[in-house]
Amino acid sequence: MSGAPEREVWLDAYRRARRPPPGLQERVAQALRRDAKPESMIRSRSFLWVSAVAAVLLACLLGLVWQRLPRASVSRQRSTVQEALDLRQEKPTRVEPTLEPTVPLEAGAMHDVERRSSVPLDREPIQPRAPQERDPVAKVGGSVLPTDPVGEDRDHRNLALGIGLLRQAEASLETDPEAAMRLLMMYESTYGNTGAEEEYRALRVLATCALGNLSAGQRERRAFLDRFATSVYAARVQKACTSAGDVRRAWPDAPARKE
Amino acid sequence: MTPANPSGAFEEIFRAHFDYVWRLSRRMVGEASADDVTQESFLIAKRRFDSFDGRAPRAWLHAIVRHVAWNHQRGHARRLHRVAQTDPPSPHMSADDAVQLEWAARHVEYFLDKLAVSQREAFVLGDIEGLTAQEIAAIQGVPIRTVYSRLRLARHAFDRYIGRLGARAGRRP
Repeated sequence: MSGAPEREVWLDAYRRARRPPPGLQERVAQALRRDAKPESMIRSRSFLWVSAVAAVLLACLLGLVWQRLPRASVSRQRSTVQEALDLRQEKPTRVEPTLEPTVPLEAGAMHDVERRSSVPLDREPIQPRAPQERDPVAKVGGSVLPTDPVGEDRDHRNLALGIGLLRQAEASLETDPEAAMRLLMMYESTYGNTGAEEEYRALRVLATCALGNLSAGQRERRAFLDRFATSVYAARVQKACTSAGDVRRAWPDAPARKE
Repeated sequence: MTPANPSGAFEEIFRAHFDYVWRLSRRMVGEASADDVTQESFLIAKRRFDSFDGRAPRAWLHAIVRHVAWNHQRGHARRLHRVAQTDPPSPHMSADDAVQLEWAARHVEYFLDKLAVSQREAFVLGDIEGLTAQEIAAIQGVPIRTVYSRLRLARHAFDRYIGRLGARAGRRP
């Protein structure tokens, strides 16, 4: 029977004959280098601990921000209100009540818009008419202190731009009702909530009627008169849709707009 | 025990035991799949390296290779493929060195295939791969005495096999 040395000769021959193919070790090493590390990181306890602590810290941070947000908002509102009060003392602008028309109907409609909204179109607006002025109480009170101080500048700009669109719509109402309607739709989609709804609704009735859409025009006319019975546009709107599609016939005494 | 430099420590294990892992893989899944199993085993070893206690790296690698090989072998088709690729031993080869080594290796494999599974594993791990009896006991889940017993029986059988072979063919590696 063979002993350990003889056995080792055979086993050594086996080891030498059964070696990995050349290049395999380097290929596996490359695969190991390519293997992403994050998986082992995720599995490690330290990574879990770090993640947990980070989550707790993030939650605390969010809580602090949540607590501080309302305070910042209140303080900002206070300072803006104070500015508004100062401005009020300097320029106590008031809006005349619109319960009764104070401008003759023959006057240019957009001049009326400018007057009531206190926004001269050719220069920087001073005090916009806030949407809350639609409230009868606000109308009677007439104060035009900004009720949305944060968006004050934005509302000024939007009101001026919106009224510009309405002026263009009114100008093209007689010559090109379709263009007027397009301008009104553009106004509605862009500046629909900037405070000239009464003018927009009136011009829309006129444009709809001028386009010959009598049934829709009459519907809108009724809605307008119900809602803005005391409007300076009421008489003008009342005459709309009395004939199909001709705004001149609907409103023969339409004044030329003053520039 | 966690290594101070995990990346360097793993690199060291990779270099030192690459041949061992490949031979294990080859014995478990055959030559055709040995490369894949070796690579997969080292990938898993790298990912689990942070849980390795630093002791008995060969036993640790053996467990990984066995797991990978087991997954690899689950397909019956693969098993049939491996069997089909196993050539029968051909003792009468030419005498140049490479062929001589291959001749000896095939005889060793032929002998191993005839051996009982538990003895074969103990013999391969202990006498071919150089694991200690303690490591083999940990791998096989048996007392050290049992490992010694299996090694003794396997060595005795192997010695008889190569003795008969030498007497018949008059050759040795």
